[in-house]
Amino acid sequence: MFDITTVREIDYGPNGVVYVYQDHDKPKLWYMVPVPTLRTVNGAPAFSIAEYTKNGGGLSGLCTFEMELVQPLAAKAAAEAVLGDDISWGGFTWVGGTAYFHYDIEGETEVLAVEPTLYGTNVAAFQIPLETAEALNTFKAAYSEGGGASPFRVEYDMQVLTKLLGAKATVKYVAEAAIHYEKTYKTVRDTWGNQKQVLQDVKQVLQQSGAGEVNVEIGAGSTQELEQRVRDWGWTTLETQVANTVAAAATMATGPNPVSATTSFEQTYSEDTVIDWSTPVSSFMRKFSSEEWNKLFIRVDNRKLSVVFNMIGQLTRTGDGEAIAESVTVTVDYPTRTTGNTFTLIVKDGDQSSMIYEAPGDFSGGAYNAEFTFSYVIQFKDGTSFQSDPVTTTDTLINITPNVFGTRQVSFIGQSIPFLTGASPNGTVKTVNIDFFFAPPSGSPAIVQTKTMTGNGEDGAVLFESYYNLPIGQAYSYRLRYQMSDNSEVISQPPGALSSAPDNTTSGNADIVFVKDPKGLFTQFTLRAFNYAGQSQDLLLVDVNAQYFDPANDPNGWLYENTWSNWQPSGLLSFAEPRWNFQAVDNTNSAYYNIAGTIFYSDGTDFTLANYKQSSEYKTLTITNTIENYSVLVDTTLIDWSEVASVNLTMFQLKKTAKEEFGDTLPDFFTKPREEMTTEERAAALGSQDNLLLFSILSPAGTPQVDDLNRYYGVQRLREDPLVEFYYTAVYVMKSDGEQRTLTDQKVEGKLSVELPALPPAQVKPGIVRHRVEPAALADHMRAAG
Amino acid sequence: MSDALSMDGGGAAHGGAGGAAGFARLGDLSSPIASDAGRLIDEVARVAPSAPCSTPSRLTPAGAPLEAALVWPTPGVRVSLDPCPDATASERASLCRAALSRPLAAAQAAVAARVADWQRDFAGRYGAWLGLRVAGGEMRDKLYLDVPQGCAWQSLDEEMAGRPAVLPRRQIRLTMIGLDPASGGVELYYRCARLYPAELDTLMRRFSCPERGQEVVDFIGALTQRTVRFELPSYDMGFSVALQAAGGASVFTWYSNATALLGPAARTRAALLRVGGERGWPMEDYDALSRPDENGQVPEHGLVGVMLAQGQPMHATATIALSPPSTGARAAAEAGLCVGADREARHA
Repeated sequence: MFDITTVREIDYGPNGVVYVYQDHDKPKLWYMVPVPTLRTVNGAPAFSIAEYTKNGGGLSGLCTFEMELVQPLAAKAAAEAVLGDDISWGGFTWVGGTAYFHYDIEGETEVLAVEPTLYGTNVAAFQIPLETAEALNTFKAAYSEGGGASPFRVEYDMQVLTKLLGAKATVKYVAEAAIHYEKTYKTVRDTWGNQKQVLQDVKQVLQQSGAGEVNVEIGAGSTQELEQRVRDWGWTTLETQVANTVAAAATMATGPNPVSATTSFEQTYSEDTVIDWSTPVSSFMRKFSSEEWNKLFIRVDNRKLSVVFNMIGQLTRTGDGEAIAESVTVTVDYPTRTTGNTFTLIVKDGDQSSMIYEAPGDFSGGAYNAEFTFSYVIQFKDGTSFQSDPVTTTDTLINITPNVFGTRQVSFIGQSIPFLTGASPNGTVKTVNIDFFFAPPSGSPAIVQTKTMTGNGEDGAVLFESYYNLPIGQAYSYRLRYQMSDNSEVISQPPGALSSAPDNTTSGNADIVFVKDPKGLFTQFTLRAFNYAGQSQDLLLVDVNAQYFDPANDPNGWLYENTWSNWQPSGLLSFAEPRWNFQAVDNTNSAYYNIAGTIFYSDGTDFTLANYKQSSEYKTLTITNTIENYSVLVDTTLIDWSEVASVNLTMFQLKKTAKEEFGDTLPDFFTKPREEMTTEERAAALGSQDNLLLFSILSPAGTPQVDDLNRYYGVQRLREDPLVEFYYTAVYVMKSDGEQRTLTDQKVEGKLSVELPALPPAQVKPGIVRHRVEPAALADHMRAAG
Repeated sequence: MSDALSMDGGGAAHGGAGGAAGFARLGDLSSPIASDAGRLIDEVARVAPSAPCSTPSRLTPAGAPLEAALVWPTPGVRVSLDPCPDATASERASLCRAALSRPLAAAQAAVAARVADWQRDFAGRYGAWLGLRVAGGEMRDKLYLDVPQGCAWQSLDEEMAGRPAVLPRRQIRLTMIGLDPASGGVELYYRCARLYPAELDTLMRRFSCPERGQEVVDFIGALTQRTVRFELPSYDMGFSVALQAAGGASVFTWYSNATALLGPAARTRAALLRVGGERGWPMEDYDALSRPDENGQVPEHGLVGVMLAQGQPMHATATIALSPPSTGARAAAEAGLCVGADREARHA
């Protein structure tokens, strides 16, 4: 493992700089952070710009190129001149990363984020549709003026595991400061909602608002250089965490500004903690000589089809480093191309991990046809193969992720858990039982696996790995059960399968889950109000009491409580002060808030929050002069856990515009998990679904207790529309053979509760359950609840 | 040493939010700049607006019509002011021009005439500001002229620089021109998109300034405590070049909106005090001038800058919003030029 305290900056060439790290145990072993470079394929730059002279189908041109990370020979030579020529070079094991292309068109800075392969040379393929003539000309000017650097750059932000040595760090997000800043200086943005694009805005907001804080304490003997590097890492970590928070808040049905739905958090990383160290590196792309340019720039009449096929993620086995398969042979079907439609990607060769498929545009129907069909055959090492079903799509980036190879590798790593046996004399945790589940391929038994963690760091890591040679879904779920020294058990479980963030594009097979101290998570709850203009009534006065329940950890009643009395919301957006802060166990799967009180409106009406319950995943309650809040009870007690391993529940409401567009028939793809939707399906879901909430419910493992905990879903009703409507899908995974059973299309009238059945019927078309509650039924319910 | 920077603080656009340091704090500055500050106080009382002006000034983010600039390590203090926040841009330009203690040199007057044409043809933001400082025992004033968006400033830029424009993708735009009648020089102020470290040297080369971009980058790194890897970490930046009457550039200054670089005023103050302390700079006056008020509010900062004068070590500067003196704008009001102040004075 490399030692972050040994970082050295090495200058090479006219302007080059690289960073090198020494190994923690072997002084002659060094690691170099590689540099983004344009790929060369068959001796030519992997770059092209096409200009469409006649039929662009909405585009003026297209720019496509591939980058990779390399260790320049000149940089190695320069490093060896400083460090000695008897050193050897080790390779980083990347655990995550994103590649960003920074460019600008007409003065507007744009950023395109893609996921690099994470193996080989981390190839990242970029494809930029140039929509206007101005955009095309900007790109032509950027790359064609001969020699030197272009104004556009590519940045790789890669993560690698190491120990935080010689320093401790605290990162803190103060939501109030970010919200104040947004209210004062910002208008509504349209970029929120896409996690990786959000990151760019988050950096600016954190810096200008003062909402971000990174404190570093260096240990005795550590250098200021180290302090600086740790602070840089702290900021990158904080920015990423806030971006995730904002992206998650964007899925709530909570008004125009997701930043105002975020709540504060704080995270401390003590010395020796295993962390994912970030190593951002950036290079300006180069301009091309006129000779090169003449080959790379083409002018064609018609728009062409250009699709990037890309294998990403950890495609090697954790244990022996062997490739998980031999090859993937892809076949594309598009009307204009009759030959060369099949090509092969080689799994163990990073240089052959991607391919850009091109074909003349099909205009036979009058307009440009963006739709094509592809399928692939995976050749496994044991001689077996898998033939995929054909997929028809308009996506121009097809990622082939490890889950299609049937591979799942998830490591759980302890971060400063106070183990009894650990260095800390005050340890309170004996062990951590980890219940882990994912849906296997159909025909394989589905079980909740349990393994036990007894120590922090990579040495104590607990690995779950499976290789099926048949595709599996991207999602997995887990539950942490901390066995405490007083023989009590603390349960911590995230709510959904993977993240509920809308832009979940990570390959998700070789994830690392950091396991932390179960107790004392700083939790903040925010009550905010929107008074929209032009309504027949304003919010006048709010009286609210909120209680926090976590029945999995304490079934005896509420744990924390707060009351806001006689609060008078003012302006468009306001917050009840002070914010409610407390320390809790991180158990967002089943902990919830119970909120009771009355909201008075300026027209003399009022609304009673009658023991309204909201999942603790959402730490903001939004009240407005246009909606009323109701909660839906999710009853899990009927599920037959003798046959069922897991249930994934997705609940959502529809935006008003989507209701009008879809009527009674929702698109079929709404039944798919977000990560399995195509890009366009995901965009459509994002644009029409509101208030999305995922619950992953695991069968009991290792505990005598059955998971019969109720979950709660908060729904909103427009005051002008007396009908309450919400929707859900449920996927049951059967223990015996991994069969995935779904609920079929159903309409339920008058019920503000969801009863998950013991077992769904076999062999039904996946459907969506739609609940409608008319005003009379709602009034009955409120009387009963109040 | 050139004047510190001043530009559009957008105070009016932000509704005059934030706080300003009390004007009286200028009188508390210590030696060696105490006497300069005393003379500035007297001069400000002559030309600055009175407190009752009803419109927030665009000069500062706080909406205050005055701004103090402090300089380190060689201590210095300057004041920029909006003589009449209630006035229109053209009224303010006339007021500032009239307040100059001596006429502009011929070359300066020619530049001012071109700017006047631009201001007539394109809507300006504020028209002008007035700068005051003491140099060589003499009270010096300076006229800052607003260069309106959309005007054909490029021809003046090329004439002055004597070389074609550089960095076409960084949205460089001339935004203000400073004219010091005593020196006869012209200072050009530009706003630009986020620059990369090496591009500072490109800008300096254009004006035949020594390539000292690394000094700027190092100072930014010290202030932000973050490694400058890619773009300079400010979301609102610019630079200025002071050209001498005899030709040639004497000072290159990089500047940033303080909030865009360092965050809210309290963070900016903490960063400046920390870095100044580490470098052994005399920060006592800044500490006093920027101290929080009774509500804990730190006065709004306008700009943070790095000044590179030929043959001199790097100097840093920061500007702080100042509330107007209670007796200001007498001259303007008496002359009947400052409509708002006049009205307020009569009401009082």
